[in-house]
Amino acid sequence: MTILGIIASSKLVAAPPGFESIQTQTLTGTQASISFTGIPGTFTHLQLRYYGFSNSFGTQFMEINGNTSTGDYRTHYTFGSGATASGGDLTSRAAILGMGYTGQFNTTYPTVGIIDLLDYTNTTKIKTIRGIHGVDTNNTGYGGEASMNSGWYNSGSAITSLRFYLDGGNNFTAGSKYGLYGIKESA
Amino acid sequence: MAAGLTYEKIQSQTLSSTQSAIQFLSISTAYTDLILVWAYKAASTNQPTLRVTVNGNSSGYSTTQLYGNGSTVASTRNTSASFWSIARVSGTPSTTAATATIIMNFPNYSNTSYYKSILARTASTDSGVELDCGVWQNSAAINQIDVDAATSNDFGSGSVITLYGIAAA
Repeated sequence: MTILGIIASSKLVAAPPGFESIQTQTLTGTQASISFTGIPGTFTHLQLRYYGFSNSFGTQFMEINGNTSTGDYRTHYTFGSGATASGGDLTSRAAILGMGYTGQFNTTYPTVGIIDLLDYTNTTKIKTIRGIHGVDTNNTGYGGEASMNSGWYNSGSAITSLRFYLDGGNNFTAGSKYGLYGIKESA
Repeated sequence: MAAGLTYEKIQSQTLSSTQSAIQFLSISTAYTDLILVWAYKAASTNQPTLRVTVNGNSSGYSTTQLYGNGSTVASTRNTSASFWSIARVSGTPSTTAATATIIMNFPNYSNTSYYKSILARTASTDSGVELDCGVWQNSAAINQIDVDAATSNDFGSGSVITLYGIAAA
């Protein structure tokens, strides 16, 4: 019995890979931003899944580790408006573009997205993040967009916090739901 | 802080013959998001648009497509439709027995207060890639998913379609 105990504590028994819910925030009122802090470094990758509303048209950005230096962020994006497809390279913001060129967060039609942050605990290389996003408003005047983004975060630090906000001073509203998940490799 | 493992298989179907439609019934509302993963095999040269409906409802859908086929990239939208149009231009094969990968996300599908939005990615061996987002202007929880095409017998034997559920902390 003692031998079995030693084996278990030495992790010689492989742990299964897993997709684990770390934290979910569901808004019941208005908030200027949505933050995840103290993200544990016990996973291999992170995935953020969101479903959001705002009080007015808003473009979403994602700030990492409280870093507000414009020079540390860059986003390449391509999007379809429902009529045309285009893309760009954003270097002027102190955050990664999360969604919102021709289709933006709004009061009624959920804007949704999935953001992957790979090898987020690594401390020897800069981070590249990818996301897919979308909102369709049935041509009701809010616009619409399907977009794919890659975000560059120029830091060798592990990612320990994320903050989402909307430009123009707009706020997230009730019903918005942001879920952070961790992905583990087999031990 | 972490709340436990999730991403569970709800139901899987492996087609043993050519089919014109697939269906998932009585979907549990115990999860936060649904993910439909389809290892698609074509039984025709039709390169069909996948027509996706939920809850047996045929109104209130709109879908925006962003696609590329190797030479052009473009975007379209079909509004006030009776289904979501997935892989409308690219993303299903135009060659019999060719394959495709289709992953469709249904975020916050079990809420009963707000419209439902979806995100889907499709990629095929010969028609290209497509990203789709869509809305269903209905606040009901999603408990049924149906997929068909305008033409018959497009879904080939050997296709594997799996529905997963992700729960929130």
